[in-house]
Amino acid sequence: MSRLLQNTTFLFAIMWLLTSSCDTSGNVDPVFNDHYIKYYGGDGDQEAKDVLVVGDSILILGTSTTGLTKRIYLAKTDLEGNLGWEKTFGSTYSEEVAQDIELIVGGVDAGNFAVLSNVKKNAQDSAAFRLTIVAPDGDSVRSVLFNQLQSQRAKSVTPLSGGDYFLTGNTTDVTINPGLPSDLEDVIAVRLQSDLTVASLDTIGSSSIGSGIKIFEGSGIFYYAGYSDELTPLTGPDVQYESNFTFQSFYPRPPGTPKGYAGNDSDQEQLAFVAKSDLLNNYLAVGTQTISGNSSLYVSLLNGNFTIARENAIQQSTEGVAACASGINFLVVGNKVKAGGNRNIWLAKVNSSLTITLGPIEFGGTNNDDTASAVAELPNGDIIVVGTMSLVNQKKIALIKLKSNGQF
Amino acid sequence: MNNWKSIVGLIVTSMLTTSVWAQGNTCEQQLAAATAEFEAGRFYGIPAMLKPCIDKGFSREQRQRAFLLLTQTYLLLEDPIAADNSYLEVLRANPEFLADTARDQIEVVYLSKRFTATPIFSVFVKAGGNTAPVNVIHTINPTGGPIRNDYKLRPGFQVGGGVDWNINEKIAVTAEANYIFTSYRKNQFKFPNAVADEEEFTDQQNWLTLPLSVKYTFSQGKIRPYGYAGYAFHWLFSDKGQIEIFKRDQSDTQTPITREESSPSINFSDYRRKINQSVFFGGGVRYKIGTNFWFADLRYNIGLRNVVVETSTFDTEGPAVTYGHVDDYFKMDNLSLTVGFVKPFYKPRKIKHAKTKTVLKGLKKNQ
Repeated sequence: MSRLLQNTTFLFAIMWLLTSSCDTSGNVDPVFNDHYIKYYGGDGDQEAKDVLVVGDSILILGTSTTGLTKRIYLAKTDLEGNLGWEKTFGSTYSEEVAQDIELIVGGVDAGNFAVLSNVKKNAQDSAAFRLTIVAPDGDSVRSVLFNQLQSQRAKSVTPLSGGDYFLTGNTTDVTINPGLPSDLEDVIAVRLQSDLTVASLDTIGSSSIGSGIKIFEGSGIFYYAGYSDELTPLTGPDVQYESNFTFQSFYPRPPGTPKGYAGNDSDQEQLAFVAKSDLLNNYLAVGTQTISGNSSLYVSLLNGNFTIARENAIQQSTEGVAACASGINFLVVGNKVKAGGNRNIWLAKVNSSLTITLGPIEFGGTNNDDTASAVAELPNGDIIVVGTMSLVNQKKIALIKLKSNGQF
Repeated sequence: MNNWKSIVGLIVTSMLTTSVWAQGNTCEQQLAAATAEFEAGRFYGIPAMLKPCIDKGFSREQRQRAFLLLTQTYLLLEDPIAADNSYLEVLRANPEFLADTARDQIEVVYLSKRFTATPIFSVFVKAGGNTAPVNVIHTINPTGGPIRNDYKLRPGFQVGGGVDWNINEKIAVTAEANYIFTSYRKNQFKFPNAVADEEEFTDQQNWLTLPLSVKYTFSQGKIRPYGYAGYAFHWLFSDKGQIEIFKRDQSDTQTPITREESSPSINFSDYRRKINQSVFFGGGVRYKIGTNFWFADLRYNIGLRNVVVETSTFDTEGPAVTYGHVDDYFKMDNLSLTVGFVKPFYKPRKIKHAKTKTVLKGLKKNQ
């Protein structure tokens, strides 16, 4: 009997040892909280546009589509991606497409957010744009609809240190600043005061097509980065226009001479985004070069005075979308175009020689069209990518948080 | 002197029985005649009477009775070696034979305590059904907002076999090798605006398992209950899942607009730990048929390990980016009901330590 007891005790001891290493919530680390992909939205489809990291909050801007209605979608999450709040702005029966979100750094609304959107007007291909001031709790404080021209579309808003705002984009109303007979679009720069009344309106350029992408504040001088196109003698969808990245001072008036044109004279280089590095006081302009229908991600490194340091097509079959500073380097996101036309989100880090030093890394389903919208870097080096994922039968905003090495 | 008497008696009895045999007696009649000789106190001729039928003719049951008679005979003839050999033959004829104080001579009962026919090894095969409850360690939310997960049981099946190593009549160490097919379903409700979207994930797994257990069996009777506990190693060699997405949007009517899409079968093996472990307990009953058994078994396995590879939740092109699907960290339990067949390899043998304590108890009980 004592031997049986011994054996039984031995067996139970063995079983205890084996079961004591059982996986529980206490000893399995929730590593999925730190680096992840999370989706946001609700009814209908949601497409991402921009991201803003403020302290330990992430603000995600996009457009929500239900039926024929498009509204601005804005969500606030913590660094683990947990939703704090989500809001939609815009009327039920309108089309309002989100463009940009920026932190307001000066004036009465400092600490609030400036949200820019384009609003479709009744006339075909006619739009106005709206600037909405949003409080940190997601409530709309005030907004203004800019509708002084026949049609105007904004690309970005730049809150100024004094509390005013500069908005840039383009207009098809070329009557104010007529140029060449083939002039179809002009760059537009609108300055709003902190109470959102219009302070100034500038239309720039005589090219065929073009747009302002972002306005930067220098020492009493304002520069815009955009693209400017000329008609070529050739015909066809890809060769009809020859466009370049352009960088030019425009305020105080009159506009200065362009600092440079990035790109070559025979192909399209269309600017999408310009990121500033405060550390080195330089800029990275990101866009797409198109040659015979093939897209390449095209970047241009700019000095602090907007002269071009170097430029290069760094990835074929890729559309340039956005960038952000990462120490002395830049993180760049784009859309990798796959065979068949679908796209993947593309991420890489480039150095000042425009050499890829991290990645490229692609995200996306095999048969899905997934696109990048924005990238940001957290103080600890973690990478935030925001994009739109086509999840089989719906589009959802994706927030991707990666380690500094680009891994989950 | 007694040995000489025995030899002479055997010779005489052999001559007589040969004569009787020649007259066409059946083995049953021969056994009855030998029993009559025994009861008449004429022991010497009994072995020779039975020998022809022992060599060829007795059924298994008749052999049992014949060798039991010989055991009693040799005990009375004070031939312990022959008695031992005869009793071993009793156990070979019927390994489940147990001497009884109410039926058998007390000498036979004592003798029986020095022998056992308990099989050292028994083999078994089995098949049955199972279901696999999911035990969530961490819920992983693929969205920023609230979600609700409902796990549902699904049927599975298993086949396998094993070996019992019988330490004694009641306790055995059991090793098995089983193939198990398991499945579960997870319904996830997310984006709960007016009507929540639903993702239905059906997971199907194929396992090879090696359970080791200690089993206690009640060793007598036609129906023998048993219970056991043990530890099992599981090798997950295949895992396939299918995702169905019901996208539900509010509409002007009360009925929401639903868009439904289904994925093809997706290989989830890269997202799963290949080796897993569990502890299990269970019990059942054995039903004796001849010298073999049928059995019915109910078992519960408690999964110990997270089935999901912890670093696999998010990747660049998997289900998370294609379908918005992520697995929770979870363990899998298993409840199985199995029927099977046991073939014991009986081995009649003498044991070192006779267990005679129960004889007196039996005698007192009979009185």
